[in-house]
Amino acid sequence: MTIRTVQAVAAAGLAVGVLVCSPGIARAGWTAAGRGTVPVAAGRMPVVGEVGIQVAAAKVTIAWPAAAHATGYRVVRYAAGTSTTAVVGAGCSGVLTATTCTETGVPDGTWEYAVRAVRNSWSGALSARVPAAVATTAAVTTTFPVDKATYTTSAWAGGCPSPGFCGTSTPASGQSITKVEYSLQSGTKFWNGNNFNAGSERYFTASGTTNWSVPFAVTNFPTGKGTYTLSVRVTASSGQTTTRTTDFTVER
Amino acid sequence: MLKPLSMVLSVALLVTGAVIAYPADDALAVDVTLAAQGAPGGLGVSGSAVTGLYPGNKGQLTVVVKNPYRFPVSITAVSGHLVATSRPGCKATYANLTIGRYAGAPALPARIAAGKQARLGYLPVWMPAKSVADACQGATFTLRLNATARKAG
Repeated sequence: MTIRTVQAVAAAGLAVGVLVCSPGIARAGWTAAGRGTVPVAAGRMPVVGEVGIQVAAAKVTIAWPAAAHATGYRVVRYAAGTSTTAVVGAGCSGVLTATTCTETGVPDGTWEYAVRAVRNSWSGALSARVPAAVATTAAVTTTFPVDKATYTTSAWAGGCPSPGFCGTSTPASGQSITKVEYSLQSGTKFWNGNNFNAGSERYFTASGTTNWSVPFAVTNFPTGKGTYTLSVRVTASSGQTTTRTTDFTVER
Repeated sequence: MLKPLSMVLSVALLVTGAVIAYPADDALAVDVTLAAQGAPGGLGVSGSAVTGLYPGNKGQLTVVVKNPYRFPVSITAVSGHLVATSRPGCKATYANLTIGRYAGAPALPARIAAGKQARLGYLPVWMPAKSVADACQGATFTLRLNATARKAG
Protein backbone atom coordinates (compact mmCIF):
# COMPACT_ATOMS: atom_id res chain seq x y z
CA MET A 1 0.00 0.00 0.00
CA THR A 2 2.70 2.38 1.00
CA ILE A 3 4.82 1.43 -1.92
CA ARG A 4 1.99 2.05 -4.43
CA THR A 5 1.56 5.55 -3.10
CA VAL A 6 5.21 6.32 -3.42
CA GLN A 7 5.20 5.01 -6.96
CA ALA A 8 2.26 7.23 -7.87
CA VAL A 9 3.99 10.31 -6.54
CA ALA A 10 7.15 9.33 -8.29
CA ALA A 11 5.30 9.01 -11.57
CA ALA A 12 3.88 12.51 -11.20
CA GLY A 13 7.29 13.90 -10.48
CA LEU A 14 8.63 12.19 -13.52
CA ALA A 15 6.03 13.77 -15.69
CA VAL A 16 7.04 17.19 -14.46
CA GLY A 17 10.62 16.22 -15.00
CA VAL A 18 9.95 15.53 -18.66
CA LEU A 19 8.52 18.98 -19.04
CA VAL A 20 11.48 20.48 -17.26
CA CYS A 21 13.75 18.73 -19.64
CA SER A 22 11.87 20.13 -22.61
CA PRO A 23 12.07 23.93 -22.34
CA GLY A 24 10.17 24.56 -25.53
CA ILE A 25 7.16 22.64 -24.42
CA ALA A 26 7.32 24.13 -20.99
CA ARG A 27 7.22 27.74 -22.18
CA ALA A 28 4.44 27.09 -24.62
CA GLY A 29 2.25 25.67 -21.92
CA TRP A 30 2.80 28.30 -19.25
CA THR A 31 0.15 30.95 -19.01
CA ALA A 32 -0.98 33.19 -16.27
CA ALA A 33 -4.09 35.22 -15.98
CA GLY A 34 -5.57 37.81 -13.78
CA ARG A 35 -8.61 39.97 -13.56
CA GLY A 36 -9.89 42.96 -11.77
CA THR A 37 -12.84 45.30 -11.79
CA VAL A 38 -12.89 48.94 -12.76
CA PRO A 39 -15.74 51.46 -12.46
CA VAL A 40 -16.92 53.53 -15.37
CA ALA A 41 -19.12 56.40 -14.31
CA ALA A 42 -21.73 57.86 -16.60
CA GLY A 43 -22.36 61.57 -16.55
CA ARG A 44 -25.63 63.28 -15.90
CA MET A 45 -27.38 65.95 -17.93
CA PRO A 46 -27.21 69.29 -16.16
CA VAL A 47 -30.18 71.45 -15.33
CA VAL A 48 -30.52 74.41 -17.65
CA GLY A 49 -29.83 77.73 -15.95
CA GLU A 50 -32.06 80.75 -15.64
CA VAL A 51 -34.60 81.02 -18.42
CA GLY A 52 -35.52 84.43 -19.78
CA ILE A 53 -38.91 85.32 -21.28
CA GLN A 54 -40.14 88.12 -23.50
CA VAL A 55 -43.78 88.37 -24.45
CA ALA A 56 -45.12 90.35 -27.38
CA ALA A 57 -48.80 89.74 -27.99
CA ALA A 58 -49.05 86.08 -28.97
CA LYS A 59 -45.29 85.66 -29.41
CA VAL A 60 -43.18 84.39 -26.55
CA THR A 61 -39.41 84.44 -26.90
CA ILE A 62 -37.52 82.14 -24.57
CA ALA A 63 -33.77 82.20 -24.03
CA TRP A 64 -31.53 80.16 -21.78
CA PRO A 65 -27.82 79.60 -21.17
CA ALA A 66 -26.09 76.73 -22.89
CA ALA A 67 -25.77 73.59 -20.79
CA ALA A 68 -22.64 71.46 -20.77
CA HIS A 69 -22.84 68.19 -22.71
CA ALA A 70 -26.19 69.15 -24.24
CA THR A 71 -26.69 68.67 -27.94
CA GLY A 72 -30.19 70.09 -27.85
CA TYR A 73 -32.99 71.46 -25.74
CA ARG A 74 -36.69 70.92 -25.29
CA VAL A 75 -39.07 73.68 -24.28
CA VAL A 76 -42.06 72.83 -22.12
CA ARG A 77 -45.05 75.09 -21.48
CA TYR A 78 -47.36 74.59 -18.54
CA ALA A 79 -50.64 76.16 -17.61
CA ALA A 80 -49.53 78.32 -14.69
CA GLY A 81 -49.50 76.58 -11.35
CA THR A 82 -50.35 73.18 -12.77
CA SER A 83 -48.55 70.14 -14.08
CA THR A 84 -50.60 70.27 -17.26
CA THR A 85 -48.39 70.74 -20.26
CA ALA A 86 -49.52 72.43 -23.43
CA VAL A 87 -48.44 71.57 -26.92
CA VAL A 88 -45.63 73.95 -27.71
CA GLY A 89 -46.27 75.72 -30.96
CA ALA A 90 -44.16 76.48 -33.96
CA GLY A 91 -40.74 77.89 -33.30
CA CYS A 92 -40.12 76.13 -30.00
CA SER A 93 -41.32 72.60 -30.66
CA GLY A 94 -39.12 69.53 -30.87
CA VAL A 95 -35.43 69.42 -30.08
CA LEU A 96 -33.77 72.78 -30.54
CA THR A 97 -30.08 73.25 -31.10
CA ALA A 98 -30.11 76.99 -30.44
CA THR A 99 -30.45 78.52 -26.98
CA THR A 100 -33.38 80.70 -27.87
CA CYS A 101 -36.68 80.30 -29.65
CA THR A 102 -39.90 82.17 -30.26
CA GLU A 103 -43.21 80.43 -29.93
CA THR A 104 -45.91 82.02 -32.00
CA GLY A 105 -49.64 81.76 -31.70
CA VAL A 106 -49.58 81.36 -27.94
CA PRO A 107 -53.14 81.52 -26.60
CA ASP A 108 -54.11 84.17 -24.07
CA GLY A 109 -53.46 83.08 -20.53
CA THR A 110 -50.82 82.76 -17.90
CA TRP A 111 -48.22 80.18 -18.79
CA GLU A 112 -44.99 78.88 -17.35
CA TYR A 113 -42.04 77.89 -19.46
CA ALA A 114 -39.21 75.51 -18.61
CA VAL A 115 -36.34 74.06 -20.62
CA ARG A 116 -34.50 70.78 -20.38
CA ALA A 117 -31.16 69.83 -21.87
CA VAL A 118 -31.02 66.72 -24.03
CA ARG A 119 -28.33 64.60 -25.55
CA ASN A 120 -29.55 61.84 -27.81
CA SER A 121 -31.63 59.57 -25.61
CA TRP A 122 -30.80 61.43 -22.42
CA SER A 123 -32.92 64.21 -20.99
CA GLY A 124 -31.98 66.47 -18.14
CA ALA A 125 -34.25 67.71 -15.42
CA LEU A 126 -36.43 70.73 -16.16
CA SER A 127 -35.19 74.17 -15.37
CA ALA A 128 -37.06 76.41 -12.98
CA ARG A 129 -40.36 77.56 -14.47
CA VAL A 130 -40.68 81.13 -15.66
CA PRO A 131 -44.13 82.76 -15.97
CA ALA A 132 -45.39 84.42 -19.13
CA ALA A 133 -48.68 86.28 -19.24
CA VAL A 134 -50.01 86.36 -22.76
CA ALA A 135 -52.72 88.80 -23.77
CA THR A 136 -53.26 89.38 -27.44
CA THR A 137 -55.49 92.43 -27.05
CA ALA A 138 -55.59 95.40 -24.71
CA ALA A 139 -58.22 95.48 -22.03
CA VAL A 140 -60.13 98.55 -20.84
CA THR A 141 -62.43 98.98 -17.90
CA THR A 142 -64.67 101.81 -16.89
CA THR A 143 -64.74 102.32 -13.16
CA PHE A 144 -67.28 105.10 -13.30
CA PRO A 145 -70.01 105.24 -14.40
CA VAL A 146 -71.04 101.67 -13.77
CA ASP A 147 -72.89 99.92 -16.54
CA LYS A 148 -76.69 100.15 -16.23
CA ALA A 149 -76.48 102.41 -13.16
CA THR A 150 -78.51 105.58 -12.55
CA TYR A 151 -76.91 108.66 -11.05
CA THR A 152 -78.26 111.74 -9.39
CA THR A 153 -76.33 114.97 -9.31
CA SER A 154 -74.80 114.18 -5.96
CA ALA A 155 -73.96 110.60 -6.93
CA TRP A 156 -72.26 111.81 -10.08
CA ALA A 157 -70.03 114.08 -8.06
CA GLY A 158 -68.68 111.20 -6.00
CA GLY A 159 -67.87 108.76 -8.77
CA CYS A 160 -64.29 109.66 -9.68
CA PRO A 161 -61.65 111.73 -7.88
CA SER A 162 -62.86 114.58 -10.10
CA PRO A 163 -66.45 114.40 -11.34
CA GLY A 164 -66.61 112.69 -14.71
CA PHE A 165 -65.56 109.34 -16.19
CA CYS A 166 -62.60 107.22 -15.09
CA GLY A 167 -61.20 103.74 -15.51
CA THR A 168 -58.15 101.65 -16.33
CA SER A 169 -56.60 99.96 -19.32
CA THR A 170 -54.14 97.08 -19.68
CA PRO A 171 -51.98 96.70 -22.74
CA ALA A 172 -51.50 93.48 -24.64
CA SER A 173 -48.36 91.46 -23.88
CA GLY A 174 -45.26 93.35 -24.82
CA GLN A 175 -47.16 96.47 -25.83
CA SER A 176 -48.23 99.74 -24.29
CA ILE A 177 -51.32 101.94 -24.41
CA THR A 178 -50.67 105.05 -26.43
CA LYS A 179 -54.06 106.72 -26.25
CA VAL A 180 -57.38 106.55 -24.47
CA GLU A 181 -60.36 108.27 -26.08
CA TYR A 182 -64.02 108.50 -25.33
CA SER A 183 -67.28 109.33 -27.05
CA LEU A 184 -70.67 109.92 -25.53
CA GLN A 185 -74.00 109.19 -27.13
CA SER A 186 -77.48 110.31 -26.22
CA GLY A 187 -80.15 108.73 -28.37
CA THR A 188 -79.10 109.32 -31.94
CA LYS A 189 -76.87 112.26 -31.08
CA PHE A 190 -73.31 112.45 -29.90
CA TRP A 191 -71.33 114.73 -27.63
CA ASN A 192 -69.54 117.38 -29.67
CA GLY A 193 -67.50 118.91 -26.87
CA ASN A 194 -70.23 121.31 -25.80
CA ASN A 195 -73.52 119.49 -26.12
CA PHE A 196 -75.21 116.43 -27.60
CA ASN A 197 -75.92 117.80 -31.01
CA ALA A 198 -73.35 115.99 -33.17
CA GLY A 199 -74.85 113.83 -35.83
CA SER A 200 -71.95 111.40 -35.88
CA GLU A 201 -69.67 109.93 -33.27
CA ARG A 202 -66.70 112.03 -32.17
CA TYR A 203 -63.90 110.84 -29.96
CA PHE A 204 -62.11 113.04 -27.44
CA THR A 205 -58.83 112.24 -25.72
CA ALA A 206 -58.91 111.26 -22.08
CA SER A 207 -56.19 112.01 -19.55
CA GLY A 208 -53.79 109.16 -18.75
CA THR A 209 -53.64 105.68 -20.18
CA THR A 210 -53.45 102.80 -17.71
CA ASN A 211 -55.41 105.01 -15.34
CA TRP A 212 -57.49 107.29 -17.43
CA SER A 213 -60.02 109.98 -16.53
CA VAL A 214 -62.27 112.53 -18.20
CA PRO A 215 -63.55 115.58 -16.31
CA PHE A 216 -67.21 115.83 -17.12
CA ALA A 217 -69.51 117.98 -15.06
CA VAL A 218 -72.99 116.70 -14.40
CA THR A 219 -74.27 119.99 -15.78
CA ASN A 220 -73.16 118.83 -19.24
CA PHE A 221 -76.10 116.47 -19.22
CA PRO A 222 -79.48 117.88 -20.12
CA THR A 223 -81.85 118.38 -17.23
CA GLY A 224 -84.25 115.61 -16.53
CA LYS A 225 -83.63 111.93 -16.95
CA GLY A 226 -81.53 110.70 -19.79
CA THR A 227 -79.75 107.54 -20.82
CA TYR A 228 -76.26 107.72 -22.30
CA THR A 229 -73.68 105.44 -23.77
CA LEU A 230 -70.02 106.02 -22.96
CA SER A 231 -67.57 104.43 -25.40
CA VAL A 232 -63.94 104.24 -24.30
CA ARG A 233 -61.42 103.33 -26.97
CA VAL A 234 -57.80 102.47 -26.18
CA THR A 235 -55.11 102.35 -28.81
CA ALA A 236 -52.12 100.04 -28.29
CA SER A 237 -48.59 100.64 -29.53
CA SER A 238 -49.32 98.10 -32.25
CA GLY A 239 -52.13 100.33 -33.49
CA GLN A 240 -54.73 97.86 -32.40
CA THR A 241 -57.75 99.38 -30.68
CA THR A 242 -60.12 98.03 -28.07
CA THR A 243 -63.43 99.66 -27.22
CA ARG A 244 -65.69 99.22 -24.23
CA THR A 245 -69.16 100.70 -23.90
CA THR A 246 -71.06 101.57 -20.74
CA ASP A 247 -74.76 102.48 -20.60
CA PHE A 248 -75.87 104.69 -17.73
CA THR A 249 -78.63 107.06 -16.74
CA VAL A 250 -78.36 110.54 -15.27
CA GLU A 251 -81.24 112.19 -13.50
CA ARG A 252 -80.83 115.83 -12.61
CA MET B 1 15.45 -1.09 -6.97
CA LEU B 2 14.45 0.98 -4.01
CA LYS B 3 17.33 3.35 -4.35
CA PRO B 4 16.50 4.69 -7.86
CA LEU B 5 12.89 5.00 -6.87
CA SER B 6 13.76 7.10 -3.85
CA MET B 7 15.91 9.33 -6.04
CA VAL B 8 13.03 9.99 -8.41
CA LEU B 9 10.78 10.52 -5.47
CA SER B 10 13.11 13.11 -3.98
CA VAL B 11 13.25 14.96 -7.29
CA ALA B 12 9.51 14.94 -7.43
CA LEU B 13 9.22 16.28 -3.91
CA LEU B 14 11.78 18.94 -4.61
CA VAL B 15 9.82 20.05 -7.65
CA THR B 16 6.55 20.01 -5.74
CA GLY B 17 8.11 22.16 -3.04
CA ALA B 18 9.17 24.66 -5.65
CA VAL B 19 5.61 24.87 -6.96
CA ILE B 20 4.35 25.72 -3.52
CA ALA B 21 6.96 28.41 -3.02
CA TYR B 22 6.64 29.99 -6.48
CA PRO B 23 3.48 29.26 -8.40
CA ALA B 24 5.14 29.63 -11.76
CA ASP B 25 8.79 29.18 -11.11
CA ASP B 26 11.08 29.42 -14.07
CA ALA B 27 11.96 25.77 -13.73
CA LEU B 28 8.39 24.57 -14.04
CA ALA B 29 5.84 24.16 -16.74
CA VAL B 30 2.62 24.60 -14.86
CA ASP B 31 -0.61 26.06 -16.02
CA VAL B 32 -1.49 28.62 -13.41
CA THR B 33 -4.96 29.29 -14.57
CA LEU B 34 -5.84 29.25 -10.91
CA ALA B 35 -4.25 32.65 -10.76
CA ALA B 36 -7.05 33.96 -12.93
CA GLN B 37 -9.50 32.82 -10.34
CA GLY B 38 -8.01 35.00 -7.71
CA ALA B 39 -5.47 32.59 -6.35
CA PRO B 40 -2.49 34.30 -4.74
CA GLY B 41 0.23 34.98 -7.22
CA GLY B 42 -1.94 35.68 -10.30
CA LEU B 43 -1.52 38.76 -12.42
CA GLY B 44 -2.73 41.88 -10.77
CA VAL B 45 -5.08 43.64 -13.16
CA SER B 46 -6.54 47.06 -12.60
CA GLY B 47 -7.38 50.14 -14.59
CA SER B 48 -7.95 53.82 -14.37
CA ALA B 49 -11.52 54.73 -13.57
CA VAL B 50 -13.40 56.44 -16.36
CA THR B 51 -15.82 59.18 -15.42
CA GLY B 52 -18.22 61.51 -17.15
CA LEU B 53 -19.31 59.41 -20.09
CA TYR B 54 -22.24 60.72 -22.14
CA PRO B 55 -24.12 59.28 -25.08
CA GLY B 56 -21.76 59.34 -28.03
CA ASN B 57 -18.73 60.02 -25.84
CA LYS B 58 -15.70 57.78 -25.82
CA GLY B 59 -13.35 57.21 -22.91
CA GLN B 60 -10.09 55.33 -22.45
CA LEU B 61 -9.72 52.84 -19.68
CA THR B 62 -5.99 52.53 -19.13
CA VAL B 63 -4.95 49.05 -18.11
CA VAL B 64 -2.42 48.42 -15.37
CA VAL B 65 -0.97 44.95 -14.83
CA LYS B 66 1.30 43.78 -12.05
CA ASN B 67 3.59 40.86 -12.66
CA PRO B 68 3.98 39.03 -9.35
CA TYR B 69 6.43 36.48 -10.72
CA ARG B 70 10.15 36.33 -10.42
CA PHE B 71 10.61 36.39 -14.17
CA PRO B 72 9.36 38.66 -16.93
CA VAL B 73 6.07 37.91 -18.60
CA SER B 74 4.47 38.98 -21.84
CA ILE B 75 0.90 40.15 -21.63
CA THR B 76 -0.76 38.52 -24.60
CA ALA B 77 -4.36 39.57 -24.23
CA VAL B 78 -6.39 42.16 -22.40
CA SER B 79 -10.14 42.34 -22.55
CA GLY B 80 -13.03 43.66 -20.58
CA HIS B 81 -16.70 43.02 -20.18
CA LEU B 82 -19.59 44.52 -18.32
CA VAL B 83 -20.69 42.77 -15.18
CA ALA B 84 -22.99 45.20 -13.40
CA THR B 85 -24.43 48.69 -13.16
CA SER B 86 -25.57 50.68 -10.18
CA ARG B 87 -29.07 51.44 -11.49
CA PRO B 88 -31.90 48.98 -12.05
CA GLY B 89 -33.18 50.71 -15.17
CA CYS B 90 -29.73 50.72 -16.72
CA LYS B 91 -28.78 47.22 -17.74
CA ALA B 92 -25.25 45.98 -18.15
CA THR B 93 -25.53 45.61 -21.88
CA TYR B 94 -23.48 46.85 -24.77
CA ALA B 95 -26.41 49.01 -25.81
CA ASN B 96 -25.60 51.12 -22.79
CA LEU B 97 -21.83 50.80 -22.66
CA THR B 98 -19.60 49.27 -25.28
CA ILE B 99 -16.06 48.08 -24.68
CA GLY B 100 -13.66 48.00 -27.54
CA ARG B 101 -10.46 46.08 -28.21
CA TYR B 102 -7.20 46.82 -26.49
CA ALA B 103 -5.43 49.73 -28.13
CA GLY B 104 -2.61 52.14 -27.53
CA ALA B 105 0.97 51.58 -26.51
CA PRO B 106 2.57 49.26 -25.82
CA ALA B 107 1.07 46.89 -28.33
CA LEU B 108 0.50 43.33 -27.25
CA PRO B 109 2.36 41.23 -26.38
CA ALA B 110 3.74 43.66 -23.83
CA ARG B 111 6.64 42.71 -21.61
CA ILE B 112 6.53 43.35 -17.89
CA ALA B 113 9.67 42.81 -15.84
CA ALA B 114 9.70 40.45 -12.90
CA GLY B 115 7.83 41.82 -9.92
CA LYS B 116 6.97 45.05 -11.70
CA GLN B 117 3.75 46.85 -12.47
CA ALA B 118 3.24 48.38 -15.86
CA ARG B 119 0.81 50.83 -17.31
CA LEU B 120 -0.27 49.40 -20.62
CA GLY B 121 -2.56 50.67 -23.35
CA TYR B 122 -6.27 51.11 -22.96
CA LEU B 123 -9.65 49.69 -23.67
CA PRO B 124 -11.91 52.18 -25.41
CA VAL B 125 -15.30 52.49 -23.77
CA TRP B 126 -18.22 54.46 -25.12
CA MET B 127 -21.91 54.97 -24.79
CA PRO B 128 -23.73 54.36 -28.05
CA ALA B 129 -25.38 57.64 -28.93
CA LYS B 130 -28.81 56.31 -29.76
CA SER B 131 -29.28 53.24 -27.61
CA VAL B 132 -28.08 54.18 -24.14
CA ALA B 133 -30.97 54.30 -21.72
CA ASP B 134 -31.97 57.54 -20.04
CA ALA B 135 -31.80 55.64 -16.75
CA CYS B 136 -28.05 55.33 -17.21
CA GLN B 137 -27.56 58.95 -16.25
CA GLY B 138 -25.33 58.98 -13.19
CA ALA B 139 -24.94 55.20 -13.23
CA THR B 140 -21.70 53.44 -12.43
CA PHE B 141 -20.82 50.49 -14.64
CA THR B 142 -18.58 47.78 -13.31
CA LEU B 143 -16.18 46.35 -15.88
CA ARG B 144 -14.21 43.18 -15.36
CA LEU B 145 -10.77 43.29 -16.91
CA ASN B 146 -9.04 40.11 -17.93
CA ALA B 147 -5.40 39.73 -18.83
CA THR B 148 -3.41 36.71 -19.84
CA ALA B 149 0.31 36.31 -20.03
CA ARG B 150 3.01 33.89 -20.95
CA LYS B 151 6.54 33.72 -19.81
CA ALA B 152 8.65 36.22 -21.66
CA GLY B 153 11.36 34.74 -23.83
